[in-house]
Amino acid sequence: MIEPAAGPRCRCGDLALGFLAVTVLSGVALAPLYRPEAALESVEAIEAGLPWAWLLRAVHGFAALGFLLATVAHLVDAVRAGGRERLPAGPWWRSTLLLPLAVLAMLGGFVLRGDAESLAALAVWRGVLETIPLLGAPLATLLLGPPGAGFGAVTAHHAGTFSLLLWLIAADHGRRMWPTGRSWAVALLSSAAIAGVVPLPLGPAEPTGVGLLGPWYLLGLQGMLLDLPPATAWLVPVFLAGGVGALAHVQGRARTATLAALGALLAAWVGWTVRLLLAGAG
Amino acid sequence: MATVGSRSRREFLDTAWRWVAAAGAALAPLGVLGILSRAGGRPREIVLDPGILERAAREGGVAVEGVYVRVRDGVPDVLSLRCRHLGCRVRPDPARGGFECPCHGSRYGLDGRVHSGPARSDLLRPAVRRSGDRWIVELGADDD
Ligand code: FES
Repeated sequence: MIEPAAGPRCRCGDLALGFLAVTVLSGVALAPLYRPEAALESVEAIEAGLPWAWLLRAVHGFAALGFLLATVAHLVDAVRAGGRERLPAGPWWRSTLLLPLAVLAMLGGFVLRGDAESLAALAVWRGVLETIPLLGAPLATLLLGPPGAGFGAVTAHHAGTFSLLLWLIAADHGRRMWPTGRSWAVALLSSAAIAGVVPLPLGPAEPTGVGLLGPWYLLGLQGMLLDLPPATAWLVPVFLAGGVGALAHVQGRARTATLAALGALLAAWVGWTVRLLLAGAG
Repeated sequence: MATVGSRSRREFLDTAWRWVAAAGAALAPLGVLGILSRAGGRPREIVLDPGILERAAREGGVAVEGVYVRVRDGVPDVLSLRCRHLGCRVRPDPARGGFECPCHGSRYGLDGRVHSGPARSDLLRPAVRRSGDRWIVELGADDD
């Protein structure tokens, strides 16, 4: 574990667990209202037809966002603590799975909306997975179901596999099952406050005149797909996760080089986000 | 002697179990891959009834369940609307003619030929067969 005196300064790890708990519990409450076989209609009913369900959906969405941001902040804090981390290599590698799993879970949630943008995201997700040599097609079937089979598999992984793994790894990492009372309160109140004023997007069933962008946290990868081969969209995350994991093993110059490579990848991510937005605006 | 015998038997069993475990570990992913590769779903069929063909002939073409149908000499001319880049559904672009993909902007001509990327290949033409006064479009995994 990270020693309190030398470890990260922010309490983002516990806060992340708070956001994760709010996300999972609000998701459990939403689950009976969602129908994978009529995805868009059921989300429209949640938004407009059922009292308070819109708030539950918004809390779920913003708590998930809070989890992602708190996890990133916790990671940045741990990396900034330099060689002072006391996390052994095994738990460190396991913990690096949190970020990709969080993104997969959130992408699953985005896809479950069932609108035009989410259908496009599902197609791109499948297309990218299928470029993985040998494993690609079966992995796409495992994660997303057979082509044209609807949202059943995505629902199962969003609500089951990814959420369960996230909680297990977060609990293992933080050595606690439940967040502290303070993290509960901050996560719940901040998600509910934002949910009350910022509407969660839900697009039309058919694409409109504008290009489809997908979730904001993947805009960089979407942008790369304009110019680079499709495999880039899984290679870049693999290199990012691998680079963060490798930080457990390297010191001195090797650590600096790894951090520089990670920084270059992130800069490319931001650059292609801008490129995509400019292309969309043009 | 009994001790030596039981030890060598135990060693033999240990080695055998290790080989069995290694073989199992090697075969398990292959088995999983095999099962998954068969879970690819059945080809989908789209029925084009005379009403759809009439509309397609009148309007110059209609989009139906992921394909674009035109009529040439009384026979449906069908293009898959699955983008050849990463599979988004392309849409007809009446202003510029042809088809455009909303995901990364690939453009195709009316005949399905790719005009600009990132897609590199043309839209597919699924097989079509006649069944009475209707036509059946057979969509494979790549067309759908
Ligand atoms: S999926 Fe059509 S351009 Fe990328």
